[in-house]
Amino acid sequence: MVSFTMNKGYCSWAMPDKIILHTLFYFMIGLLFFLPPLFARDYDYINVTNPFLKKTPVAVTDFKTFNGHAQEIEIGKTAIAILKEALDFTGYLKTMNPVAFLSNPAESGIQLGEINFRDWTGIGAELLITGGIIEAEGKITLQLRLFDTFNAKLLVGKIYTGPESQVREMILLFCSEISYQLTGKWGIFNSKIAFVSTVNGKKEIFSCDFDGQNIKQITTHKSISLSPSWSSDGKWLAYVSYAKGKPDIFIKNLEENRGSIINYNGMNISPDWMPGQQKLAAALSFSGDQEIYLLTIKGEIIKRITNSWGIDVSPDFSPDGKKIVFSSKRTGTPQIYIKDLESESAIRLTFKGNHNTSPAWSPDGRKIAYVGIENNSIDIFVINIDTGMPVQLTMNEGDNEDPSWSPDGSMLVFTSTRHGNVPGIFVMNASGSEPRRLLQLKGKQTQPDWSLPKSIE
Amino acid sequence: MSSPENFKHRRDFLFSPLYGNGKTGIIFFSVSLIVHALFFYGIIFFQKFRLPKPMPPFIQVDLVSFSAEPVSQELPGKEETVKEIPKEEGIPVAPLPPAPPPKSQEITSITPDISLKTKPANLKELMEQQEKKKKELDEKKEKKPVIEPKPQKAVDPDKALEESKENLEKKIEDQNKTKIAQALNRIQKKVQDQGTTKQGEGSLASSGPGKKGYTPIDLYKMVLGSQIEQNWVFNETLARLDQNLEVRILIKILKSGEIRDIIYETRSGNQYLDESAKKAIKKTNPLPPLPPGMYSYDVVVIFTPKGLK
Amino acid sequence: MKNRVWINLVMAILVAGLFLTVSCAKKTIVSDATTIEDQEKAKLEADAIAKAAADAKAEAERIAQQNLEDQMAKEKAQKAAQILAAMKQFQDEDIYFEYDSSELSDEAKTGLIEKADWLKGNTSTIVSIEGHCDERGTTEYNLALGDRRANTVKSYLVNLGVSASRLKTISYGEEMPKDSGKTESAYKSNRRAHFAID
Repeated sequence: MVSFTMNKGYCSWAMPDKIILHTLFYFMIGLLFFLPPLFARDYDYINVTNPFLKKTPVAVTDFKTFNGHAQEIEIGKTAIAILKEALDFTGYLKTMNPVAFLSNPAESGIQLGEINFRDWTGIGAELLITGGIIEAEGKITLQLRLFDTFNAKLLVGKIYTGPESQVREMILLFCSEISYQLTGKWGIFNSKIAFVSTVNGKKEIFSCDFDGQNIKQITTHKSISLSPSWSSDGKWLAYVSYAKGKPDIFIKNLEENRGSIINYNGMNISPDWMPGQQKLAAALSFSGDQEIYLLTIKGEIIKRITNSWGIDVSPDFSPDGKKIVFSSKRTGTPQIYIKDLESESAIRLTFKGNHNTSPAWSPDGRKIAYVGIENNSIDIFVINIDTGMPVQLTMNEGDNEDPSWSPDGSMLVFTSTRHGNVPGIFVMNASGSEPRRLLQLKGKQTQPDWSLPKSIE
Repeated sequence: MSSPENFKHRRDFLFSPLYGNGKTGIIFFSVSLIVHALFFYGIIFFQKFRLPKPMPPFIQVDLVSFSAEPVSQELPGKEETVKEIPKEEGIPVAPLPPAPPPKSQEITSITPDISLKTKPANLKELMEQQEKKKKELDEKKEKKPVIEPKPQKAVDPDKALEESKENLEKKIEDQNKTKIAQALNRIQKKVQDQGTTKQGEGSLASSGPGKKGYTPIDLYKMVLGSQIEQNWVFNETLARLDQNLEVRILIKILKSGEIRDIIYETRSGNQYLDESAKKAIKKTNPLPPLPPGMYSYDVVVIFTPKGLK
Repeated sequence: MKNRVWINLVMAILVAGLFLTVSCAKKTIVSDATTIEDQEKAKLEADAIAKAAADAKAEAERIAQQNLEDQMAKEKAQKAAQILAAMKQFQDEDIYFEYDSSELSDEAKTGLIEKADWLKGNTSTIVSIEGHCDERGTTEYNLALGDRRANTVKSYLVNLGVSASRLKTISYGEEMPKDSGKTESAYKSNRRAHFAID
């Protein structure tokens, strides 16, 4: 507080000057404090937590037929059916009912400039697919386009040509493009699933497409054949068979009818290919104890990976091929462990439950799916490697085993006895939602393995 | 502190021949003061206009059930607020964000900013300056009309509520969204049931405590939230199964209900989620018209998708 | 027993025969004229009797021999049956395990001692020890568990003195259950080590 003395007549201006200046100065400072709050926005908030729609609505429109003859129309219809089924299979897309469509690009135009996007945003379609088909002299040409309706953009446009027998493959290639646009990954459309099925009571190895179509029998040993595993390039299949009297690992080239057999003394089981390499990990018991080894495609031992007394089985490589996850009973109960190939120690991953086996490493490297058994319930869990938090994906629906990830990590294929107490192959989204049966086949189906997609372009 | 005497003396000094020429000095200074005063008054009034939200920081929108919030009157209280300020402690300041729902009384006795407390000396000076300016301003009021906040007339909350409800209902029927209408009915019913108990110590001087506990803007927010939710498409897989995501989008709504601006206040880091939130809002355009008396309305919509089962 | 009866009978006949021959000899001394004819006659009779006696004796011996052989054959058959039974028991009776375990209970050990005994008594046989599991647990894990069960059994037998080269092991995991039911007792009967003679 500035004090002053009353001095009649004479005032030194220095003091009042200071007072004024000080006042103004503090005032200004004060303003600086007050003004921002005066102008600051304290907005109202609204919380929104529950999306009404869990799948992106996509409108698939009829194909424009350029020549217009019957065969062209037929093939066009087949192609659309394949397209819709494949898109609905993904679990994150939902094809819309054409009844709701306001316009028909097959007539009004299938290209960017010819589409009135309001017709599509108005009915809630976030994505639009148009197509055109030309059939001439046995050759089919498909033009396919994917649009973002809200941003009025063309996302992907492709033209495919080939014989009619390749129409399904063309559509699936386009679906892979769609997947790449939306998720950054090529998706599942060109991948295959290998599995075990019984033929007259004998277990053989089979394969099928990602959606359960095109089922083929691969082995005819008429013995017990188990545990199929695809190589990264999809050309080799490793599996276990008792064809020679005891469990041996057979490595078979699917196109060239050649291969090798790993048949050390004792058991040779649970093969898994190293990503991108012609090497495998497997559990061998010739030493008297079940341990995991790294082997060449011919069966020569490169190195021993695990080194502990007790069961070590079911290796699965990380996506970068540097680590394996496996099941081990080294501490008394079967649990899941991770080991770097170069290091000496294994890190335990699961601490809940007394029986955790059959691990599968997710393609993004962050999670492990596995089977946990508790009180006679056999269910599939997913555990985040960093947080160590397990999440149960199946519950109260039969026995569920053998999880295997889709190549883009969006889905899991597994064995389940939920239908009629007989094991069958099922798929579900990686979050555990929408489990459904993949294929219907006589007998019992188990142990599916999901391959990588065939390389594109 | 300073006695009026001191102040008086200071005044003397202020108006003493400081600038050499006594008269021009006085004129200059008065003009300056007047301009400052006007400036202040303008700020106050402008702020007064902007102040209609000393209310809960957010409202949970849920069609099924909700908890009623205490009434926050802004409109009729304004007049008193402005007039009362010079007597009270401080310059009107918007309430601090995370404050609990203030009772209506607090509006009339707005707690000043913290920084004020650290400069008590200044405070007194400022207050007294203000008082002085106020007196000047009263004289000048007709000459410089400041923005007249419309809702200065005594608003009957009941009536306003009903009117806005009617508007909303009409809009709903137009848009064929019967679900919302049902929700509104439920809200009304609930409001009627709960209104009486929750009415704050009313300082709605112009009308007694209303029966309803909700203001038009509360209802509007509920409708807004549920409509956006209905239009929101979100899939965990496309979000790469990231957890604990949250995106905040600020929307500016015009009187007609049209959304003028959609701005990301905070991005989630997950582009898919951000896009999906923006699309949900775009799809909900245009909204029902704002409650009467509002020219525009800004609100932040927080999207937090629930995680895995 | 029957043999004895026969023997007695034969003896009785023989004795009777003896008495008869003695009295016949006395008669020949009293009368001379007819004695030579009588003597010849008696001699013939005596011969016949002696022959009969000898025949009977031979018969008896033969019968005795026969009985002996029968006896031996029977015993042999019995023994063979016993051996067969033992072998059957060896193959049919399995060694059982607790859930998710390859450890031997006391009961299991007792059973294995019997197995060892049999093996030591049948040194030429080679056997396969099969490890089996109940269906709980994944395919691959159960293959490994079955393998452990088989090997645990083998080690125990080797410790009891059985030659390791005679014992092969193989695991079938959960692939060949004995009981396909879903009850605890069904599971229990599947958790086994089984012996198969090659």
